[in-house]
Amino acid sequence: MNERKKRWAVGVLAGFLAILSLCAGTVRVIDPFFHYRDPNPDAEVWFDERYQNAGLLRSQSYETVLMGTSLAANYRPFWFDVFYDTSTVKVTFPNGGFHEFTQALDYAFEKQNVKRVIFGLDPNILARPAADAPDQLPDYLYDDDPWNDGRYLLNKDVLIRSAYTVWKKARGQTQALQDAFLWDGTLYFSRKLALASYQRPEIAAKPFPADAFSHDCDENLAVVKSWVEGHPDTQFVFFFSPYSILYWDKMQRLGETDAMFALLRRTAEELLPYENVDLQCFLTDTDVITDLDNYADHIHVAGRVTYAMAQAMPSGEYRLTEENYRQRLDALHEFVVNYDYEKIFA
Amino acid sequence: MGFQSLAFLLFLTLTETLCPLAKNRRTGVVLLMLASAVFYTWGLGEHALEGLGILLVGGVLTFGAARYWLFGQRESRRRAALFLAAAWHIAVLLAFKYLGFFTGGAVSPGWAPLGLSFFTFQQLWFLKEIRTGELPPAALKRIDGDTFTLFSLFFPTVSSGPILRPGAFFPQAQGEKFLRPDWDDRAAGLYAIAFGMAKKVLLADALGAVVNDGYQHLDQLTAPAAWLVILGYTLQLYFDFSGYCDIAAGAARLLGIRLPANFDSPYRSLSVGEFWKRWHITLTTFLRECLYFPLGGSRRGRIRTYGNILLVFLISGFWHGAGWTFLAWGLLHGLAQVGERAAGARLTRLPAALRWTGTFLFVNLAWVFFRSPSLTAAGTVLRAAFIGGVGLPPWLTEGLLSSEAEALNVLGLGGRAGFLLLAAVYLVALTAALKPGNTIRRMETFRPTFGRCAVCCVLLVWATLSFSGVATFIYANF
Repeated sequence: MNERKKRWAVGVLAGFLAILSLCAGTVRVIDPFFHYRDPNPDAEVWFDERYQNAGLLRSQSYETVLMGTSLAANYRPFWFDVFYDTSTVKVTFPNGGFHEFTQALDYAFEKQNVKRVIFGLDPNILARPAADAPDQLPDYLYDDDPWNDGRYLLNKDVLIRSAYTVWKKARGQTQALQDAFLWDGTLYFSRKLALASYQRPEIAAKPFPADAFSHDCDENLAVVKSWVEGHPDTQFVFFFSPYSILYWDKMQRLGETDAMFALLRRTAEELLPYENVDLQCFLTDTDVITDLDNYADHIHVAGRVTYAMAQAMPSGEYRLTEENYRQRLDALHEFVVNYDYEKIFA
Repeated sequence: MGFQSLAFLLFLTLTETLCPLAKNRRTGVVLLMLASAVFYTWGLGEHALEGLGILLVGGVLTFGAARYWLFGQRESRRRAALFLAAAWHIAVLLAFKYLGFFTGGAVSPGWAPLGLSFFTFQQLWFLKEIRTGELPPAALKRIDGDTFTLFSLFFPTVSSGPILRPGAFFPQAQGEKFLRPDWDDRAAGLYAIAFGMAKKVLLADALGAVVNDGYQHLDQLTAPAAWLVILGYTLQLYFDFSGYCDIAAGAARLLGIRLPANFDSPYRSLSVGEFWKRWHITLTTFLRECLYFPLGGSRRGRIRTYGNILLVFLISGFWHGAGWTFLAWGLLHGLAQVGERAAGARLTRLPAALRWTGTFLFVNLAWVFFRSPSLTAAGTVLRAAFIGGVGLPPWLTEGLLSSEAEALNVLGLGGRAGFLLLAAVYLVALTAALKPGNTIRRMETFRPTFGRCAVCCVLLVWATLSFSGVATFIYANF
């Protein structure tokens, strides 16, 4: 029996190592997250920002990093190449958390001489408690440590995505790098759809206090300021995406309008003193935000608007300064407080 | 270091390769002791070294008391030394795990050394056997400090047991097979590790996803969903802990040590009393020998026996966690056993199928208290199970083998993969939990066929490839 058990045990070990090597080899060759190879700029399979952006940050040549949540995902990198005369890589994380952005930025600064960061600073994520923010970036992809590559090579999820990559490429279902992670081509933007996607909340019994978001906002801004202070030679262009009038309807009904404006003022007060910060506020474009044909829901905006915003960024038309931010935000406050929301739903 | 990691596989390979190369037993013991310290401290964060220090201090006190018992002059002082060592262990356990509960959260260290509960019971068992003479002075004299430290820190058992009585470890550590495993041992070890990994990584964690989904949507639980969550946790806990024990048994066997069985197909039990002879056997044995018998056991009349049973199960519940839900769970099991004793032979005359159904149902419902974050939450789950709505909510399968589900959906299942996998996982898990025989028994008796070799390879590979998204062992929290 001892000899048979010996053969059996050796067989298990040999089989285990052989199959494991085969799996690791498959991942190594296909490399769906671009950990060892550069993505093909004309034809790749894009399916997961958190896993594939590390490969982009590692392999691309860039001066500018375009970063943000899903609201920034529809900005094409080449727009900024043209408008800012630069080279851009887009790194967006749906519902991204500030720890994730920090991790990706650190990796970008490690890999390239980053001269500019264009960051979609959503008021919603500024108001979110840090503990509720996703923190899901795979550490082993956002570093160059070969000792943790086992978690990439010996990983069921990656193996399945390797098979998925081969399957999609075999069917010719690929996209160019410039089109990676765009979602505005798969949605329609219209007043009808925006209203259909919007669930109008009940009116709150009493409004939130104006400082309701202060603690979480300060905590998140501290992270943002650490980027700015840590890289004084890099220009940071932060922008508030143009949330639609439906968003303000929601804020009004929930009693959160004053708290949200306190957050916006706080953000301006904290960031504008930095010389390397440019803060742009597209929230104040009332023509855009009241035209619901620009939206898929209460915040997600169409590609034609994002293009116009990207084009406007270098001009400074929407730039907040220490001199104008109070007046612009006060004007928006007056507008949203006095807006006749019922006519939207009439 | 968790068992379910690539680091552990590397650690195990190095330990199982290097320790047997030691020229003599003493060197081997020291090497294994150091390896166990590395295992304990690896990747456990800021308190790892402090935790190890606390365990080492406790071990030194136990060993010092044991030496004083051997060589001390006055009987009263020798007894006092054992008593003081035991008091130290209980005090440390209370301070780290129960201070917050007793002070309403006002005073709490906020952390506890990994495996402290298991370590404490093991040390108490050692002291108790010295005191009662079950560990005779001649055997005690043969235990040196290195071997005792290894007993306290032995990496397969340090985090979650099985709780080792002295007789289950020292004779083997002093025997010829220690660090000299033969191919029977290696085959048995690999068999246990393969099935233990599969139980933990493929079954327990898949079931855990359903259970977590349920507890995150308590207000939306329908009756079928509530029953799936209840049954899911029953199976999850079994595969999580018995999977851990299988891996521990396998890793120890590769070093020439046989660990005691901790599970013996507990869900096949026909009574709650039988369940406790098959579930977490080493804990039950410890509580019986170190608490129930010293309290008088069943020798002091019916009422006192019932009281003793209730006390033992209340302490068992409290050992598992400082909270009212754990006390409620312990009380339920105590009451069930008191009821069975009171019913006597009348219960055994019932049909076996009826007894099994009643026992399994009771165990399932009692686990609700064990899992729930509060008594209110437990009430919500039980209410949903009996008077909830119908239908299976779509969120129930979120996170359940998500990569596999995604792949199946891409291949054309059109979004139905979640519920198909749910059915498959529950079917496999129920079959594995209820069929005769279990890993610990089969690792001694299995026939080394090509089929088993292939199954073990596939299970090991699938589990290894799944490490990146695996949760920690539930019993590591106790």
